[in-house]
Amino acid sequence: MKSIKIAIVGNPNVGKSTLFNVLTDSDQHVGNYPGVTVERKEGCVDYADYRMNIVDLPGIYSMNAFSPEEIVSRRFIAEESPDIIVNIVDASNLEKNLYLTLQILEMRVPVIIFLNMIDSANRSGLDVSAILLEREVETPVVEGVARNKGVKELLFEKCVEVFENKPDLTTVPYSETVRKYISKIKGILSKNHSEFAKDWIAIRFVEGSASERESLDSCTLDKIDSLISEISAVSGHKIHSMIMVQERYSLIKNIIRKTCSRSSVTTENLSSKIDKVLLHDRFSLPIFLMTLFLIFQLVFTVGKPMEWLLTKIFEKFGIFTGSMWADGSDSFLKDLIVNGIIGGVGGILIFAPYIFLIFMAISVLEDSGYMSRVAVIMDKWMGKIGLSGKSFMPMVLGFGCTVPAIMGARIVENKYERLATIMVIPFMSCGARLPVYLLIISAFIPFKFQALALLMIYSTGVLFAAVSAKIMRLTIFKGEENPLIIELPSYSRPSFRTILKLTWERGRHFLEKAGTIILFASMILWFLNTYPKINTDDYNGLPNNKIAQMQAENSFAGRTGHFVEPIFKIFGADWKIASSFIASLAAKELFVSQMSILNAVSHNDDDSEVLQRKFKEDYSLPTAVAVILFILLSAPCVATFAAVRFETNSWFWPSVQYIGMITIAYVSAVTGFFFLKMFF
Amino acid sequence: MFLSDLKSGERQVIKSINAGIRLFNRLASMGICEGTEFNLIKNNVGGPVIIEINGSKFAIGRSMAEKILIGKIDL
Repeated sequence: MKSIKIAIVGNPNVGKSTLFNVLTDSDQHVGNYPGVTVERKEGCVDYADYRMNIVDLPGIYSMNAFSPEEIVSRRFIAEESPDIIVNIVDASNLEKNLYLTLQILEMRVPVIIFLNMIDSANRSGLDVSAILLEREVETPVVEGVARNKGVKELLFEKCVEVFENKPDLTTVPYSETVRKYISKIKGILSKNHSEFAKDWIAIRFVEGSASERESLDSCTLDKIDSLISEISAVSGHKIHSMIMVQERYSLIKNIIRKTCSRSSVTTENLSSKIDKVLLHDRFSLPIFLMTLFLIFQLVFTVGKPMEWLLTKIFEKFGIFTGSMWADGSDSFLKDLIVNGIIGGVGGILIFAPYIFLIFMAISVLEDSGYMSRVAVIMDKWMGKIGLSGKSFMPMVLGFGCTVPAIMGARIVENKYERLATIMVIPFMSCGARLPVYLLIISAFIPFKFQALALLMIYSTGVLFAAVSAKIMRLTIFKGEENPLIIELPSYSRPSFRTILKLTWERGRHFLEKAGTIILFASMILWFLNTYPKINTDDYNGLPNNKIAQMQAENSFAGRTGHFVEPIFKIFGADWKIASSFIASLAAKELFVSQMSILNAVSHNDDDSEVLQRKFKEDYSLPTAVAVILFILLSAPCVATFAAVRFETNSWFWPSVQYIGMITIAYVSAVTGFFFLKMFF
Repeated sequence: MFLSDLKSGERQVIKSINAGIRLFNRLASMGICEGTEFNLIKNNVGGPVIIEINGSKFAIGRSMAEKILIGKIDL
């Protein structure tokens, strides 16, 4: 069986993911927000005697290597040389789509153009002739509607034909002037490059997007640069790439003139009407904030009973598992499984409903097309802290869980802005920190002010995020200016299937984390809390929780708590809090579990009041506030560290973030403590 | 006149774009370049300017819009 490697390339929102799903029979999410497919997705399907390996590359407008998406795509085509590129284009907007097509054709890879959404083009009064287009661009064209039946066979048939017959590759017919400069630059390039590579690199230089600069010596570069300034001088354009842009668009205009005809003019569509309201000068922000508020409200209303149910399930499951051993058994394995694994992992899995619900809400916003409007609405405000509207959504995601938020920051193209966004996201208070606040707030704040207190905590986090983003953008992440430029897709009714699919795809990461990092950390924490063991026989007659407390104090975690206590004593914290801080380094919510153990409170719903009372007896209000500040601002959890490490591809940035946040948290906690001390 | 100053929706054309090559190329790949005709959809105070080109809508950050010179279409 022969295998054919096919890459799907196209602009955002032209139906790339739909086509991929149809070709691979999978049910991948179809994005209605620019930049949904950041990583490439791969699928494999057999057709006739061929194995089709299909890669869905991210949606891009050009091969300029400006954004991460473009870099991924350009690298894939250059390095993994697919057999065929299926370039999907939106029939109703060829002008914009063909720009990328021309760049792909320059890459000298067999191309098949898939003319998508031909139906909606026709409906809007535009006739596009696939036959004429095929003749004009000298490239096979398949027309259709991606989601319709038969497209798969049609495209695969064409792929096989192209693969077997290997037709001549098209050369983009640039003008005399451009060709002259391309061959001049080719002449300068060393003999190491193949003829095709030289062509490609030369064009990149003329259009000003050569990422090959580093690989060339300064002498060659000087020669090329002087040629390029010659282009500017000759063409009279301030920016030399204009010559290329002009060439391409005049070629495209020519193609469109010969292949398209407009029979009627469309009137204003529904999307524009919706935008009149949702992007209204004065109402857009209130509408958006209201939406956000409703989402949080909904997430917590629906999530609460689910959390309760899961808590009960894990409790019963723990008891059931424990009953496999004989009564009163102190088997190492039993303790590890029941308390370490089920207790630890279960204690975190109970937050899964919140995380899934937040992702679901985000998916609805995305699939409906509202998400890109959010970037527009928030751009003005984000500009004040040196970021663009695109950074806003990842930051809001941070209220749910920091890990997906950091992954979501990929939609920010500019490297410096993306880094700044990633660095400040952990300040956005994630769901895992909520149990800690709830414990302390319920202990100190009267019921009617609790919501307000919670709002103040979240706002403090946002404030720290904003200020640090601004500072970083003014200092280490200066970078060039990167204004928001975003396409606003038409609104569409979100599909239930898509929402579920997307929610699952994202939420899955949380479950994976629970199965890996959290499982591992829980076992370690359990060990640190359990060993070295005290001899329980010495304490016969003492109540069980008293023994557990002494055990905890004697354990590694307890001893470490004692050891670091002096650092935290300054704001009135003791070894229990110190030890719980250490536990919270694995995952923030572990602070509560650790406090329960150290205070000899069994961690049950009914007993949470006991812990609250204890907290109020042992600590003052200034200390409580300092603890909240420390939990809110200090080092992100292990999973976040791993995510930042992965996303920045460096150990440096996550380390800076880690140490920086601990420092900021400590200073803030101490400052907060002494400030409040003046009043209480 | 700059795109950021445009207040009402008469069809206009982009005269020149005063940006670095990266931004220039990026705009160009989206079909926003010298000679492009567009309709203004929205220009809210302080926010991005939203324009429509060939049926696609784009939001352009204000700082960028301040560097795009526009004018009436020459007939």
